[in-house]
Amino acid sequence: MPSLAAKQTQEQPREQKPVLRVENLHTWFEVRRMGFFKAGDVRALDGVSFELYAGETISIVGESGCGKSTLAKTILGIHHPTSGKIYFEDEDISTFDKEGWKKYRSNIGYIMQDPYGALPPFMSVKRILEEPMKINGIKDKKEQARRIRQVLEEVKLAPIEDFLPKFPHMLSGGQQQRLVIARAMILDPKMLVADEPVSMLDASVRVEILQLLQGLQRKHNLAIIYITHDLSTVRYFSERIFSMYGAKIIEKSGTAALLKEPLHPYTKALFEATSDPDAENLKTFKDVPAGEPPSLMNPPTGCRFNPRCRNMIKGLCDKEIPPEFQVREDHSVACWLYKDQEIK
Amino acid sequence: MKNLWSQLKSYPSAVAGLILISVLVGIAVYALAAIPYSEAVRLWRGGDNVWLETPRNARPAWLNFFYKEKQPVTTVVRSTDDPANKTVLDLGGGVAINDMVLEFEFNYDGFPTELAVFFESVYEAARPNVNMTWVTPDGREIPLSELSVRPSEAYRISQDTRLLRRLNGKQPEIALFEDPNNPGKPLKGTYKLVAEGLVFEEGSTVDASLVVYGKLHGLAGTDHRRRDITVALLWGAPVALAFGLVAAVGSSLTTMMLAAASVWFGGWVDWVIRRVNEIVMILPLLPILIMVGLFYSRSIWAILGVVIALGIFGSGILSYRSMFIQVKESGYIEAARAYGAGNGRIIFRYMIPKIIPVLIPGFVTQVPAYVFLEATLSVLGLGDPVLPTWGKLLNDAHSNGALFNGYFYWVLEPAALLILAGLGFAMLGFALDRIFNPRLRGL
Repeated sequence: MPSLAAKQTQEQPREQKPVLRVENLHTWFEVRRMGFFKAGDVRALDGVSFELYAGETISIVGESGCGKSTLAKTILGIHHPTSGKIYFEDEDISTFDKEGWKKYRSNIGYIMQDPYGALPPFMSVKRILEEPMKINGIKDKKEQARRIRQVLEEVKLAPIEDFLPKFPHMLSGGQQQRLVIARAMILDPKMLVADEPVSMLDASVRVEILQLLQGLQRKHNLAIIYITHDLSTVRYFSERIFSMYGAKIIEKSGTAALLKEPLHPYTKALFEATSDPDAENLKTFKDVPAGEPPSLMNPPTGCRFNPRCRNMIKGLCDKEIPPEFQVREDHSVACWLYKDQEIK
Repeated sequence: MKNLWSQLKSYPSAVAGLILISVLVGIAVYALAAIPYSEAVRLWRGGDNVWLETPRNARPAWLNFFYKEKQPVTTVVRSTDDPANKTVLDLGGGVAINDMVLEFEFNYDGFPTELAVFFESVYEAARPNVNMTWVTPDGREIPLSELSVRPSEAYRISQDTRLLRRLNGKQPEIALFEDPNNPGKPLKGTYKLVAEGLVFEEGSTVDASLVVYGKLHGLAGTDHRRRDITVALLWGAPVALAFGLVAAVGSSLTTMMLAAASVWFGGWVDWVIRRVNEIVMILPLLPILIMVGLFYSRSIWAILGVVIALGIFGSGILSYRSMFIQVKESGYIEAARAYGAGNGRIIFRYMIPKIIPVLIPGFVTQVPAYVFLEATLSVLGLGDPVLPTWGKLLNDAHSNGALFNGYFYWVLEPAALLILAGLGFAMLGFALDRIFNPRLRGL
């Protein structure tokens, strides 16, 4: 992606307050047998903590079913956390009343993977953009029209008048995703949650959409959580990368540091598995760990990766859960291999 | 909407269906405008004087067009129609002769079914006296009867047994019209009924009207109680359409909302709705309707309520439910939750509009099913007791042995309308189904 400038990992200006702070978040789904009897919990999110600052992008990478989307949906208020706290600008969202939720929702935009599925097929572009405003208390027609004009200009769906009466199926995939972004932006949010926003688009359109998101981020100083499978895009788009495995964040790092030297065996394997169009790859053997993602109903004891890990330390990795070791200033990893490398 | 219309036009069956439906709607509108509800009820109850001048069990008049031997339609001649029909000769002292000559042309090849004279008179104490003579076209004069007239008096010539005896046992309506030279055939020409009324008081009057009941009547014929079937055919249309549409719309919309709520809320709501559905599904509709009709009310609106209430449940709720389960998981619902849409908004603005296109053809094809259900109930004798409907015509026809008495029109007319209603909605429904579900289209 030549047109996207690789982001420099800046030293975070830590004196400012985080937009979003997540503390020890658990989201468990109850599984019932015969509709009544509790059979157990699916631990989709099991102790996740991080902070997100304005103007910053966090990429969350990990395989399917590791809890990435559950994290996004818990932050969006679609799922309710079993325990743990989410603070938005230092306010605990579990204490919000109806008005508080309205305000919170206006401050988070949601961009989804499948743009066509994300748009109600029976609503026109105009109605799609009006819906969030109607729900969140922007009743004034003039204000609605002004905002629609503004976001459509920002996502470059022009001429605006041509698009307003159209229905989603009349738009191309890229236009649909622009419309989804416009809908996410219409309430003027401080934060975006983008759940694989480009994975269903043509390669040619991906760059445009990512550039668009970057432009919006600069203009509005947005905080973005970028969830993806596509490791090739993260380097252009994010300051920090979180690697998730089995409902936990196992590695947090600045983008450059992680790309240069991933520490956790799982993150290493993930980067190994990334395909790179290079003829040299024919000669090299990719060492991808065998096995399956862990059951989240009945996760392995100790480190969740231990059954698949080649560096597993018997008696430690399969017994005790590894804490986060701060290996470098901006790099922490939850793996017993690094217990001695922690900086104090 | 515009698009739908242009697509509909490309299906001939849809156009035919729409034409049939609009004809029925036209009939319904005409019926409501021409015969108000209270008038329809009064006509159909058929009190004393409503259907005096119509024949019993007469076939539709237009059948004459096909008959080689033209059958008579009803002729009514009144002394008040024309001043020439009545001459008053004052004899002094209040006594006067009201000489009424009721003249009519009879040019048919069949005999009338009945003859009657109705008198209206005004007096204080002394009843007027009337003496009647029948004059045939060839000049024969047949004395009929002499009677004293009450304010409203009917003299049914056909039932006069003394006249019957004088005519050698031949029915008067035949004997009075028969050609003496050509027995079995009526004599064509101008007949006269001469009624000589004698009044005995100052200001006392007497008037007569002669009714020669024909074998044919009106557009649709008459039934065993002399009622014009046209009234019921006309009024059957709005009743059937209203019943069918209200029942179909009411039950399918409610079904859809219940299914949507069941899927959206899940948990115990879903459990309760599904269990209730399973229980109601095995309840037999017809016996319950019969019981409601027998023990509670036979009003068509009560029956309609029960039909909707029971029609809500059934396999429909399950198939809608399965569609909604798919809709519930779609991305735009998740997006709507993320920007804070409430439960009601999600159900009514996001889930239901998605499957409305599936619902429309289904509900259009359901309309005739409910129209037939109403007819079925009427045929079983559970129809609304006051409203004339197509089903009640069939019920009357059945209980009066219409088919083996040759009153075919009595059965065929309502049946044809029912079939047309069914056909119209079915053709439209099938076309809509193809438009909304392109997979059903042939190559």
